[in-house]
Amino acid sequence: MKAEERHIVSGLKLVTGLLVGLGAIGGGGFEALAQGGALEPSIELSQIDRDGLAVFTGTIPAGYRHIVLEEKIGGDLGTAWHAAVSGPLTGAQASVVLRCPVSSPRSFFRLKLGSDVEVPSAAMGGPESLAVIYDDAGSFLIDESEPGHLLNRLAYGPSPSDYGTVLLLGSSGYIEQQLSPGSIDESSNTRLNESLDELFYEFIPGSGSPIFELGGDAAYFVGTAEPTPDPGGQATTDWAQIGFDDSGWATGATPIGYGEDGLGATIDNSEGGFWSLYSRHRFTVGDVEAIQNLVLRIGYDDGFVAYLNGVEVARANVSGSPPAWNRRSDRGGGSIDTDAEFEFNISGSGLPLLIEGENVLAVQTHNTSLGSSDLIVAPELYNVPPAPYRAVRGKNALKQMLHVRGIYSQRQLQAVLGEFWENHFTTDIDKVEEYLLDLDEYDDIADLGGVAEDRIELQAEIEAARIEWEEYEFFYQNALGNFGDLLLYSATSPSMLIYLDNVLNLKDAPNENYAREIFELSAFGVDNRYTQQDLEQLARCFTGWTVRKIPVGLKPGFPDSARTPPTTSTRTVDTETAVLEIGETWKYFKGTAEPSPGGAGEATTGWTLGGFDDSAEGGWLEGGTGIGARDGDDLTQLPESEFPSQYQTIYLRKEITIPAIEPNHDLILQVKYDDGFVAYLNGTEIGRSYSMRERGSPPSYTQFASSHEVTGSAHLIDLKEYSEIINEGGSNILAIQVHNSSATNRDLSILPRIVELSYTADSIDVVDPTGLWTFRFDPDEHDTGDKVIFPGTPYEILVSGIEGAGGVQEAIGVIDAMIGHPSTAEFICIKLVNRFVSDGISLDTYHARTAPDHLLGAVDDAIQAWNSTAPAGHIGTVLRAILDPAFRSSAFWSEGAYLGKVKTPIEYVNSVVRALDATVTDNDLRSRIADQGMSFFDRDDPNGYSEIGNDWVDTLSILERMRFSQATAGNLRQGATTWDPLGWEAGTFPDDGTAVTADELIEYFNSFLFQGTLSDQRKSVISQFANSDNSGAESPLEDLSGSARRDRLAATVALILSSPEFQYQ
Amino acid sequence: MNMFRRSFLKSAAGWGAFGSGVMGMLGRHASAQGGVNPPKLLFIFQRGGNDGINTVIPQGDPSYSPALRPSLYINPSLGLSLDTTGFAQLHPGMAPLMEVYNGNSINGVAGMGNLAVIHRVGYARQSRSHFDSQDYWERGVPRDPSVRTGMFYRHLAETTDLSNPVNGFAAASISSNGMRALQGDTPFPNFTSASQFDFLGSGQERLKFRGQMPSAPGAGDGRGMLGLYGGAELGGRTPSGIVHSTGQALGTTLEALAGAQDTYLPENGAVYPGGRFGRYLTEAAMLFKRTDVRILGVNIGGHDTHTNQGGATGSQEGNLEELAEGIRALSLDMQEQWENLLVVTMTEFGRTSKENGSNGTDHGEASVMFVAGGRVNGGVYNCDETSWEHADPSDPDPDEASAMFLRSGRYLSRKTDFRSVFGEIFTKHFGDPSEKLEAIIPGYTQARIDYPEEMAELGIL
Repeated sequence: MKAEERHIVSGLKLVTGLLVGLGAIGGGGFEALAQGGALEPSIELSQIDRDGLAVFTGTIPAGYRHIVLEEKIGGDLGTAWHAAVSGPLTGAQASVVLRCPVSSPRSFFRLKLGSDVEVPSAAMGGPESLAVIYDDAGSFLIDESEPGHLLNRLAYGPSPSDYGTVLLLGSSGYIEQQLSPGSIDESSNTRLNESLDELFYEFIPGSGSPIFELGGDAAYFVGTAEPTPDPGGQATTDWAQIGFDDSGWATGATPIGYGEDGLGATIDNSEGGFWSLYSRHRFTVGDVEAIQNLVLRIGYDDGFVAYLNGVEVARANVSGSPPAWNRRSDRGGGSIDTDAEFEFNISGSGLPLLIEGENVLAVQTHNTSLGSSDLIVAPELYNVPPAPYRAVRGKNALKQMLHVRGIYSQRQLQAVLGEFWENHFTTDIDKVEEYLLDLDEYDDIADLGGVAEDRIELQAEIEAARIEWEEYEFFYQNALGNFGDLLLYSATSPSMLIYLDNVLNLKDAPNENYAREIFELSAFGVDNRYTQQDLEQLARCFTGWTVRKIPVGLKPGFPDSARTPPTTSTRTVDTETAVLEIGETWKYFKGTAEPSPGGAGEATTGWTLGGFDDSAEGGWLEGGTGIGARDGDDLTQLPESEFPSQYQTIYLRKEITIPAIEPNHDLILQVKYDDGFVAYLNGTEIGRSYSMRERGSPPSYTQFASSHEVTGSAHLIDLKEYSEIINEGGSNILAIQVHNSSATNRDLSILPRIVELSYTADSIDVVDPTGLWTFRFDPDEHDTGDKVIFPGTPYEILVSGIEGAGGVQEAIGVIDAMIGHPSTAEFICIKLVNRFVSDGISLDTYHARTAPDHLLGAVDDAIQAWNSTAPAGHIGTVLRAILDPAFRSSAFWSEGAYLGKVKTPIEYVNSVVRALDATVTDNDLRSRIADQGMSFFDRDDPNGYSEIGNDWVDTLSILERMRFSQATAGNLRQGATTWDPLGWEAGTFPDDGTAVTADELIEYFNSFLFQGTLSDQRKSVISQFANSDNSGAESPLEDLSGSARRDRLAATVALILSSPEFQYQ
Repeated sequence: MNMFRRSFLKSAAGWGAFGSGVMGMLGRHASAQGGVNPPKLLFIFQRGGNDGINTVIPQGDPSYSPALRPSLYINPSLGLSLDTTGFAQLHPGMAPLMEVYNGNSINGVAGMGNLAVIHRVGYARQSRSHFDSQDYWERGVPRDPSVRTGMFYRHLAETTDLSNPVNGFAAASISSNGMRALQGDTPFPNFTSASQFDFLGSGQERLKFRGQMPSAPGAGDGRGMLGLYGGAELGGRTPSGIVHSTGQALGTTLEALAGAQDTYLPENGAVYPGGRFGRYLTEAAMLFKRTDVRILGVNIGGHDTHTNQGGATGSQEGNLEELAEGIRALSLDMQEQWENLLVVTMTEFGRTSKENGSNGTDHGEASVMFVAGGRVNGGVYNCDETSWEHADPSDPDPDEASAMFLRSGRYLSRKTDFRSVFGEIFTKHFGDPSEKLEAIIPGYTQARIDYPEEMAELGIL
C-alpha cells in the first residue's frame, strides 16, 4: 500500500491530490491511506461493503468548482487513472461523501479538485455516488419529520393513508416509488377511479344516422302539476310508459321551450312561470339489430331525466326518482352554458329497451327557478357506429381533474408534476374556444341562431376542452420523462398554437408572440442568453405553423404529430368533376308574364316541375349559359331593345342527370348571378340570393331584387342536403328565376354550374364534431429564407430555408437544440428546485452566485443530472438529483426546508381535503382556488402561476384560505352558510371516540400534519378556542354533543387548518 | 429596531385597537400625514403593454399612416384633438377623458387643469417581458431584480411609521393579488370587495374566529386566528415572517373595513363603467371617503393586443373607453378631495410602431401615462411639433426621422423616464423631502446624471 501525490493532469487544474490505496478485500483486511500532508482537504475511507462499494467521506475547502475521484488498478505508476466519480462544487467549503464501486482488490484512488466550472466526465456522477453538503444547509431533518416533509413536497400534503405508505416504505423507498409512478397499482383505488370517471363521457366518433331528429312533433305537458300522480299524489313514471295516452297533451315540434331562438314550439311562461316540462317523442324502429350504439344528443336547460319506453336512461342536473313536478334543477344553465354534457351514450341501458315498431322517448325537463329566463328541451336519437373513446366533459371537469388526481391518487409526485408542467406551459381554454367560434364554418352555424348557435357554442366548448385535456394528459403521462418531449409537444399542441398566436404567424406577416414566450417562459427564462433578433429569426422559422381538424382515426400520435405533421388543410378538394357546365344549353323564358300563373294569375312553381311544357309554343327559348345582358360574360344575350324595358325577370330550366353521390363527396350548385335568383330542384326551392329575401315564395315576375348585387364568388348550394328530392342517376329538373334590381338597371346575368367534389382521404368538415384538432404545417405560409439564431455564440444555429413540407424542420431543429442549451437547463432546474426545495434561488442569484451555497449546489447537481442523459433533460433523473434518496443529504433534506415554503392555492386546498380525508362529491374546488387567485386552464397571462410560495401571501389569499378551511371542516358548499351533507363528507376526522377532548383533537392533527412540532403557544390558543363558546365563556368541548359539538369541532379544525404552520409545506 | 421589538410594539398596539374597536378614530388623529385632507393617490396599472401610439395619436407625424397601420389607423376626423393644431389626438374611445382634460365640470375651474397626458414614457434598456417590465415599473427600479420592495411602499416607509398598526391601512390594492408597488416587509392589504371581506359564520362566530392579538409574541393570552398569527414566528422556517405579518394585517384590515360596510352611492352624478374595473374604482372612491387609506392601486387588463387590436373601434378601444369612463367618474365622485387626489396610470411598455401580421402590435418601448387631479398642470407633454421628431410630409421616406422608429428602427423612443414623473409626484404631491428620493427611488440620483434630459421634471404639478 502506498500513497503518492500526482501532478497536474492536462486540462485539469489539480490543486491538490491524494491517493487512497486499498488492500486485498477479504484477505488481510484493508486500510485506507489518506495523505494530504499540510493540504487541507481531508478524505478517508469510511467503509467498504461486501459488494465492493467504497464510501469516502471528507471535507473540501472553499474555492473549488468541481471534484473528481479517480481510480486505477495496480500500484504501477505507469497505468492510467480513470475518473470514477465527478461532480460540481459551488466554491464554498463543504463536506463530501463519495460512493464508488471498487473495480479490483488492487485499486488505488485519488481525489482531485479543480476550479473550472466545467465538470470532467466520469463513469459515475449524480446522487448515487456523490453528496456535497454545504455548511449553510444547517442541520438535517430529524427522522420523525421526514414523512411529513416528503408528503408536503412530493405530494399535496399528508393524508392518513399516504402517511402509512411512507412509514412502510421508508423515506428513500417512498421517493423511489414516486419516481416510478407506473409501479403503483391504482386499479383498486376506487375513490380515484370513480371520481375520474365522472369527468369523462364515452364519446363516439362518427355522427351516425338519426333515429329521430329535431323538428319532429312531440306531445308535451307543462309541469304545473304531477302528470300521473299515484293515489298519494306522489310522482310516478306512468306518463313515460309506451302505452300512456297522451292525447290530452299539447303537440308541437322540437325544440320546445321558451326564452330561446329557433324553437319549434314556444310555451307561454308569462303566468308566473312553471317548474317543469314533460315531453313524449314517438319514433319507429324497423330493425333493432341494426342499431349499434344508441346515442342521445340533447340540448337542455336546466336539468332533465330521459326515459326510453318508461325506463330511465339519462339525466343531468336534477335529483329524485322520479323527480316531482316541482323539483328545481340542481344548478342553472344545463348543457347550453355550463359543463358540456350533451351527448349520452345510452347503448347499455337503452338498446335492450328498444322494440321493433313504435317506441317513445319521454323527457322531463326542470327549471332552476320559476323566474328562469329560459327553458328548453331538444332531444335527438342517433344510431352510431362503434369504437367509443373517453373524452373530457368540459372545462370544469378538466379543472377538477387536477384536484381528483391531486387528492386521491397515490401517484402523488406525478400529479404534482402534471400540474407543474400544465402551469409551466400554460394556455387559455377560453382563447381556444373563441378561436374555434371565429372560424367561418362555426360562424355560419352560429348565425342560424337559437339551438343551432347553442349547439355550435357547446361543440366549441367541448372541442376546446378536448384540446386542453390532450395537452394536460400528455404533460401528466410524461411528467417524469424528457423535457424535450414536453417542449416540442407544447410548441405543436393546438392550444399553444392558438393561444400564443403561432397560427397567425405568416410569412408576410410574422407575429412574434410565441417566439418570444418559448424563450422567456418555456425554455430559457427571461433575458437568459437570447436577443430580440434571435426571437425575430425564430418567429420566421415558425411561419406556416397552424392547426387543422383531422378524422379521429388519422390523428398522428406524438412525436409524429410534431415532426411529420400533415400539410393539407382540414378540407382539401382532391378532384372536381363538372356535372353541369357553364355554356350548356338551357330553356329560358322572358318574364313579361308569369310562366305558370295560378287561377288568380298569381305566381306558382308549376314551371319548375317535370312535365311542364317548356316548348317554343309557350314562349320558351333555348340558349347557352350565361344568359343575360351587357356584362360581357353571357353566351346568350338578351336584346337591349327588350331588356330591361319590357321585362326584368327571366326563367330558366334544364333537365339534367344527377349521378349517385359517392359517400364523402359533395355535389355543389354554384350560381353566379346579377342581381338576384331563386333556384328549384324538382319543384322544391333549394336556395336564393340574399337580395331575394322576403320577395315571396315564389316571387312574382314583377319583383325586383333588393340590391344591385355583383358578387365575384358564386353562391354555393350543397345539393346533398336535398338528397331526398334528387332522382339519383336519373332525370331531374333544375329551374332558376333571375330578377333585376330595377326597371332601369341594364345588366343581368345567370351562370349556374354543378360540380361533384371529392376530398383527400384525411379531409373532414371543419364543424364535424368527430374530428380532432392537430398540428399542421402549411408550406405555403412558410418563410423559406435563411435564418440565424444565437449568432456569434457557441450555440449558433444556421437555418437554411427549406421549401415544402420539410420547412417544419427549421423550428423543430431549434427546439431540439434548446434542450442542450445551458439556459434551458438552468431555467428548468431552478424552477424545479423552487418547487421542491426552496424559494431562495432565482436565475439572477444563481448567475451572480449570491444564492445560499446549498441551493447553488442543488441547482448545480440538478444541471449535472440534466446533462447526464441523452437526450439531455430527463426529468426523473433531475428530480432524483434534487431529492437525493441515496444519501438524503441534499438541500431538500436540510432542516430549513421542512415547513419552509408557503403552499400555493392548489397545494393548500388539496392538502386541506387530504388532511381531513374528505370525499369530495361537489366539484367546486376549482372555484375555491380561483378565490385564492389561481385558476388553471384559463389563466390570461402566458406566464404560469408563481412557484415562489411567498408570492401567494396576501391578505385576500390568506382570508380565502381560512374561509375554505371553515367551509370544508363545516361541510359547507361554496356560498352556503348552513350544513349541507350533499356537498362534502369532511366530518370524518376523529370524532370516533379517540379524540374527545380539545387536547386529543389537537394532538391528532399535530402528530399527523406537523409531526409534533406545534408549539405550546399554538396549542394553548387552539385549546382555548375549542373549549369556549361564541361569547368566549369557558365551555369544554367534551361536554358538548350533537350539532353543538359538531359545530365546535368544525370551527376548531378550521382554526388548526388556518394556522400559520399549515400555510407552509 | 430588532424584529422582536418591532413585533412587540405592533402587537401591543394592535391588541388595544382590536380590543376596543376604536381603530378608525385613532387612525384619524395618529396618521403620520395628518391634516383634514392629506394627499392621496390612486394608481391604475394597464396590464399587457398599452399601445401608446393609438392612445395619444401623433397625427402631426406623417409616418402615422394607413400604410404603417393598415387596420389600426385612426383617421384625424375621428380623433379628439388635444391641442389647437391637432398634432396630438386622443383615441376617440377616450372621449369621457376630454371632460377631465378640459376641466369644465370639476371645481369650477375651466381649462386644462386636470389631466396631464404624457407621451413617450419609458426607461433605458427597456425589457419587453411583461413580467419583468411590470416589476420594474412597480418597484421603481429598472433592471435590478434584487430590489424586492415597491415604489409606493418605500414612499410610505420613508414618511410614515409603519410599525404603528394605525398605519397598516395607509395603502391597499383593490386586486385579487397584492400589487408589487405596495410590496414590502410590512404587508399592505389587498381585497376586491370590502363588504365581502370577512370570515364565514354568524357575527359572533366571525369575531370568535378572528380573535385577538396576544399581549406579546408567545404570550398565551391571544385568541383565535390573531392569537395564532400574533404568536411567535416559526423558528428558522420563515425568514421573512410574511405569513405572520399578513395574518396580522388581515386583522387590521377587517377592523379598518368595519366602518366601510354600508351601501355606497357615488356622488355628483358619477357613473362608473360596468364590470370589474368600474367596481374596483367605486370601491376606491368609497375607501378614500370612509377610511384613512391614502394610496390605492387597481389593475385593468387586456392590453396585450397581438391580434385584432382594432383602430377607432375594437378591443383596444374597449379598454381605453373603460379607463376613460372610470377616470371621469372618479373626477366627479371625488370632487370633495379632487384637489388632494392624483390618479396615475402606468403600463409596462408600448408596442411596435408598425402593425404586425395579425392586425395587432407586438411588444415595444415607450408609451403613455395619464396623471389626473385637481392640482395637475394639464396638457400634452412630449407630443407636439417641436418635441416629437418627424419628417416633413414631403419626405419620400419619412420613417427614418420619426420618433416612432428612433429605437432599433421599430419602436417609439422615450422622451421621459417614468422615475422623473414619480419623483415629481413624491416631492410635489406628497411633499416628500427631495433628499429622500434616492431612498424611495433607488438609483434616482445616478439616473439624473446618466439621463439628464429624460429625468428632467416635466412640471406636471
